[in-house]
Amino acid sequence: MSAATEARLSATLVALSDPTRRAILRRLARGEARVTDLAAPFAISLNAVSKHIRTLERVGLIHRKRVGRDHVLSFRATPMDAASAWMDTQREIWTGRLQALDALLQSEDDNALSRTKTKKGDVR
Amino acid sequence: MSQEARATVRVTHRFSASPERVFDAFLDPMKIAIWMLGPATGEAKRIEVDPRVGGLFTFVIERPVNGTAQAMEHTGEYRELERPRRLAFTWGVPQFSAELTLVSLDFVAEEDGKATVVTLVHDGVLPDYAERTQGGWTAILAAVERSLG
Repeated sequence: MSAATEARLSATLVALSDPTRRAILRRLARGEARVTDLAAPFAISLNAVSKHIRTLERVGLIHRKRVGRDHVLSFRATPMDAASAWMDTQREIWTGRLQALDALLQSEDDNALSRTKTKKGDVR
Repeated sequence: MSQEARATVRVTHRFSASPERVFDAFLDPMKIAIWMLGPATGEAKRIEVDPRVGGLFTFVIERPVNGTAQAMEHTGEYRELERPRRLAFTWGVPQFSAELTLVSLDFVAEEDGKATVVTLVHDGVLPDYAERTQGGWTAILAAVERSLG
C-alpha cells in the first residue's frame, strides 16, 4: 500500500470511528439529503452535525452541492479511490506470489544441492 | 452512476533461475499450488491448466476467513505463450466480479541465463466501478458497525 493511500485510509477509518458520522453515512447511502434534514434525527446541535459533515467531506466520503439556498449532501466514493485501492491490493498480492515462487525455486536449488552432497558423502 | 476506470499494476522481481525455469513455474500445477498462496496461509484445492493459446485455467484457493475456510476461484484464458520470453492471460475472480482483467509477464535473462527479471503487468478495465464501490462502502460500514458492537 502506498504511503498516500495508507494516510487516506487511516483518515477514513478515523472518520468512520464515530457513531454519529456512521449514522450520517448510512442515511446518505440511501439517498442525498439537505444538511437540516440530516441534523433532525440527532439530539445534537446543527453546529455539531455540521462539524461531523465537514470531517466526512475532508476524507471524500461526502459530497456537498448547493441547490438554491440549500446545501445538499450525498454519499461519495470516487472511482479514482476505487481504482487506486484495486491497484494497491493487486500489487501487494502479486508481489507476495512472486516472492513465494522465488522461495520455492530456491528451496528446489537447496534440495538439489543437499542431494548432491549426500550422494558424495554416501558410503553404502 | 456508470464510469469506467482503468488501472494498471506493474511488479518486477528478480529470480536466481533461468527464464525457462521461471516461465515453466507459472504453468506447472504443483508450483502454482504454492505460489498462488503468496505469504498467506491457505490450501490449493484445485489447479487446472490447459497451457495453449485459448486454453483455460482454474485455480481454487481455500483460505481461513474469520475461522471458516473460504474458497476463491480464479479463472482465465491463456492469450500468449512464448517460452521463455512472454506469457499473457486473462484473469478473473467470478464470485467478485464478472469482468476479466489481463495479466502479462515478460521474462528477461540476466547473467547468461542464470537469473531472470520478471515484469508482471496487471491491467484492469473496471466499468461501473463507482456503483460497486458504493456497495463496497456500504458493506465496510456494516462491518465497522459489527466490529464495534
